[in-house]
Amino acid sequence: MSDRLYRTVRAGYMALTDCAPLIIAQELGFDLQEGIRLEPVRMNSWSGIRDGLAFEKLECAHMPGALALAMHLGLSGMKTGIRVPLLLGHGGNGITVSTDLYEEAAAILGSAMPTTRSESGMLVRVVAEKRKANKQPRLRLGAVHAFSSLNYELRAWLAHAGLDPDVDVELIVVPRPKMVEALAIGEIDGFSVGDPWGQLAVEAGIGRIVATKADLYPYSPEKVLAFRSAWVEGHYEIAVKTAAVVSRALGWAAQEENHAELAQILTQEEYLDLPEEVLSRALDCKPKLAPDTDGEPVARYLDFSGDNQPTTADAMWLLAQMRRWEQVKPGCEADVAEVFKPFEPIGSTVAKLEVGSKKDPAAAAFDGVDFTEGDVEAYKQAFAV
Amino acid sequence: MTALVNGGHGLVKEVLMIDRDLNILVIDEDPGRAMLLEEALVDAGYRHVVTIQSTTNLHDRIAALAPDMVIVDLQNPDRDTLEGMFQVTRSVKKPIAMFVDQSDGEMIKRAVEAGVSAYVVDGLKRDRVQAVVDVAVNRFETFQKITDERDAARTALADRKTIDRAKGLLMQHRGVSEDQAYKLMRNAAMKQSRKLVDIAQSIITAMELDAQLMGGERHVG
Repeated sequence: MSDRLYRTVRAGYMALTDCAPLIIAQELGFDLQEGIRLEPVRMNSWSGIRDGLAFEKLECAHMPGALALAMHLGLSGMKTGIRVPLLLGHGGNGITVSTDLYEEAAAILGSAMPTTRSESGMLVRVVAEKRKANKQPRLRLGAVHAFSSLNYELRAWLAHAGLDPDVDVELIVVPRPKMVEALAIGEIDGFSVGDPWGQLAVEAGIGRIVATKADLYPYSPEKVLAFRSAWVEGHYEIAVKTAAVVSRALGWAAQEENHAELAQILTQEEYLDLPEEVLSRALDCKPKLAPDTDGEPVARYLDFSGDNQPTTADAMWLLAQMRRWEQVKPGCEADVAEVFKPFEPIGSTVAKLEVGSKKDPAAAAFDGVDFTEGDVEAYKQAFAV
Repeated sequence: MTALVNGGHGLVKEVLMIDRDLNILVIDEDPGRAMLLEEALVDAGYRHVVTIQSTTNLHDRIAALAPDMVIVDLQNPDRDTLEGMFQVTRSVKKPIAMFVDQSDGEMIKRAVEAGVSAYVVDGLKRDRVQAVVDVAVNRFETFQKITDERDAARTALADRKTIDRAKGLLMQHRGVSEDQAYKLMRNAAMKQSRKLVDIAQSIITAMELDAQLMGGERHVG
């Protein structure tokens, strides 16, 4: 078959470790075996990915689940119908604070330093209180996009420590490639970002990863594979095949014996262009959390295994976060109920969907707030902040 | 702007005053394109145009400049910061709305095609936004055309050099005239349905390989 007979599917991604399934599906030729050509397109911002998808420069993209819902609801950019047939793994995020902030907090807390990562928001709280007492400017923390779990995790972690993220600290958006520099020059005192950017701050000796997504909401949805639904309607078979080859790549990436090869592929200039050993540590769930330490085992730090089939519960969980932080008006449940749903398989698809165990998105949540009923408003009410 | 022509004297003055005082911020990592756009905006009568390249402390700089409108290239990594300024924090005095939120699909589509994205202060009138966006779209398109032409010219020049070099090698090593050398390459290109420059490149590679082997033999001998 000649090359041009393959249908090309452009897939936008950001240079993060969890874009791996898209890269692998193409690099290992899973796409060609299915009769499609997946073309990963590296983008520079989530806004750019969103617009690329909305304005037909991309057919699908790696994006935060919340951004997919925000596009669908018309809360971010051009209102665009979205379909999410696949989750791109779980975990991968972390909250990093500057070594200065860490040491200042340690000096104040002494023996009262939190012993678990899920309680580490206390570090920010004591320094924020000291700043307030001394009439100094508020601490500043960076996140990468309003409609992302990174933002919600940072906010929840701060709220859990008794801080109001909109009052007691200042949250600003800093693009990933500038995070480490921003931390180094003191523009920000910490950030919530996808791997490997937290590890890079640790490598530079200027930051410590004090909490990971696995410590906060280990089973909650993270990045997703989002399609423009209008395109899916006109190209259903190709869309199904695309999701199937990415699902196959997820299964491949989940295998520990493939991690070395995966890191070698991702480290290439055209993809992440970041140090291989740092990527390897993330894939092996042994991120380097503090300078002068080795990688430390963190269960589910970045997890491609398990069930990556999206559910309505996943969408409701994200909607609940959006409600909690007042990004969306109440009553959008019905509008997003059909967004997170696997494609109906079709006969000619070779690749099998990888299916594993699926837990409730709020399982083992660090704040203990239950979401088994999927009640968005009840969830919002459960929090003081 | 027909309002300027048809309106009363007072109205003309008012409209002009407002638009000339519009604070426009251009963020572009390409200094050439940024300069082109800034010049065009100044030529169009906008007096307050500030251009910055990607920078640290962008958040604070934008907050200090308090622009009414930000023009930024679509692929700029700083776009998430711009959007965050009105979505995550309320620390900026003037709320910014995304131009793309507005309902004019055709205008937005043309802007996206040209690689322009714009953020405007909430409530800024549509035609005032459109006037600035039109200038930006035109300049981005012009810049793209110039870049494409320059790239094409560079490629053409490089191709010409390759072909000349292959021709020279054939003349030197095969003892043919310039005309014959050219015809040999042309015929080969037509027969193989390949570009002349590709044939020339193959000849250069083959000759270089030849020279290396000869050199090696001599060394061994």
